[in-house]
Amino acid sequence: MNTTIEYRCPNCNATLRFDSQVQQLTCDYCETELTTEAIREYSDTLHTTEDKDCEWESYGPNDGSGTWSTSESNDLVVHICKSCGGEIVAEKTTAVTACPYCDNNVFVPSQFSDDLKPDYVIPFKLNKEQAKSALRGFYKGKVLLNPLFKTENHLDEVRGVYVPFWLFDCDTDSDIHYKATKVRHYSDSKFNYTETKHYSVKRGGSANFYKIPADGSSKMDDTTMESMEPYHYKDLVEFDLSYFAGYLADKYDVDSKELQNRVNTRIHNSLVEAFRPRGYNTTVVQGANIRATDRKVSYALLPVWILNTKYKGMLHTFMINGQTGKVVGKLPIDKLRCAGLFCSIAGLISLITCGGAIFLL
Amino acid sequence: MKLSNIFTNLLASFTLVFLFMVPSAHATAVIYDNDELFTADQIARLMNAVSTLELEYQVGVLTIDDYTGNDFFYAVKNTYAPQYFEDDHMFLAISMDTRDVMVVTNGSAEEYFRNTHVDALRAEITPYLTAGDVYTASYEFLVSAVEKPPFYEGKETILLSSIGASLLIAVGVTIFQVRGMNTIRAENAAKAYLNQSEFSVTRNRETFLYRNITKTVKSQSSGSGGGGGGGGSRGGSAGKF
Repeated sequence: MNTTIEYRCPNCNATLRFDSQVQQLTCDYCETELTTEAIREYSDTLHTTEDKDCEWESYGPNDGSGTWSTSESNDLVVHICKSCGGEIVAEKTTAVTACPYCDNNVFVPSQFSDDLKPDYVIPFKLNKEQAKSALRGFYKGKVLLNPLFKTENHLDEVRGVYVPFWLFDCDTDSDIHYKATKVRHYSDSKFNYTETKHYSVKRGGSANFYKIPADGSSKMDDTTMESMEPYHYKDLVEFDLSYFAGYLADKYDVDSKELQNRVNTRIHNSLVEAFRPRGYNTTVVQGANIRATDRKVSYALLPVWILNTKYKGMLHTFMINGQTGKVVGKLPIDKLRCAGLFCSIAGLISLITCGGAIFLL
Repeated sequence: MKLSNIFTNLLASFTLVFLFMVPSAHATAVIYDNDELFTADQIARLMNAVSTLELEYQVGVLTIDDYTGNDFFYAVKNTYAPQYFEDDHMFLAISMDTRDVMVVTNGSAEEYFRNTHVDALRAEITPYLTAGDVYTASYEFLVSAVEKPPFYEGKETILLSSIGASLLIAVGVTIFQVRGMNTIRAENAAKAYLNQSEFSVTRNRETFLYRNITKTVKSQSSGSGGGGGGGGSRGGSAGKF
């Protein structure tokens, strides 16, 4: 049986929630506010007491013969909610989840122990209402979106999730070879000339990259996660479980080594652009020799709001950067409005230009 | 008097008044053959070519014998046109010595014959001039000069271009809107995480490899449209033959 942790209000014993606005833990019942340091100290004392009472540990369906098949048990684990005693079946990678019976947050400390413990976390800056508001803002100005989508659809699910990311740091020393051209036009009395001078340009120097993120969760689409960038690291703090109250979290299931190629490609592309020589008409990369040193990988959990909405029987998922409020997703295109937009623009401009041309002629 | 008779008389009176009110402008071609390229018979035939037609502008042919200037186009527009023709005119200027030809329009003629028409007309008669047949070139010019092109003739290109441009703009705006509906984009670079303060270019070497020169022949000196001052011609198309 997996051990879980939850944070309770020292005043009324209700479950605490991390308030992204005040960046503290808040009790929704008695409005007590606690700093993360305070709750950690309080919680440590509480856990020492709880550890003596381990009766829950022997309770559960997988304590003896087991009722899960091998394949199921490979992917699923059972947690016990310390608030209501409910049994929570979750994926192996789940680090923080909500109890389906009492809706309390359930932490799985083993997911954050030793090597699995994240180095950093960016706490949520947007609360649920702000996330919803960001989504409504995303709808604005979208002329191809059917107005019924805004009015008829309803958010089925709004989840604040800490997504595992690997952050890559490195210093680089690069030599990049470009082939460049300068073009000059001139003429004499009989001919027009185009002179193209070809150059070999070699540029090199040093550059360092600070915490390039790459998502370490196979459940999250890589492209979608990249679309939510950038994250601003001024809000990056050392990992603390108290930031997770009220949110869900996963642990990584994609090793950082598997992401190295993707990160290296991004570094390569960035350096090629950064060193690209100016003052030429064309520049084409011929080769790049990039030597990376002082490579470090850290593990962080970054905030993402996941909003699910249904429209005409189809599920639409939007993700919002929990720090910056950047909305990522695909809105349904109303084909009729698309055709209408095209025809009205083409018609209006034709009318103006043709009318103008006829008038001027 | 019957009412119908009164009506008939009134109608006849108005018709007569109207006929006198609208001046009948039977045009005659104006031929200034300074270079003596035509025979008397040819001049008569050229003048008669347009005599039965009503025109708002003067049409004619001007041959130039002692042209020595550098720019035939501007000389014709600013010197010869005000000297020989009225304000509303369309004429053909020919200099056999310098092999220059120019179709000049001004005033109401310019309203009917746009640059495209004038260019086309010059191109049509140039082969005759190249062959030395100045009379046929002049005759063809006069016949064409009195046949005003339909209002939309030659404007099809502009109209089609306008519609084409409108469609392109509409496609562009629609694509922009469609792209805005999907904000999922792969991030191929890591520029946001490049520490700009510590970025430095320490090596920069440029080596010249080789050069290519391509040359294209300049188009023959020809001009059309624009400019002109002091009551001179504004429209025109000039070239060599």
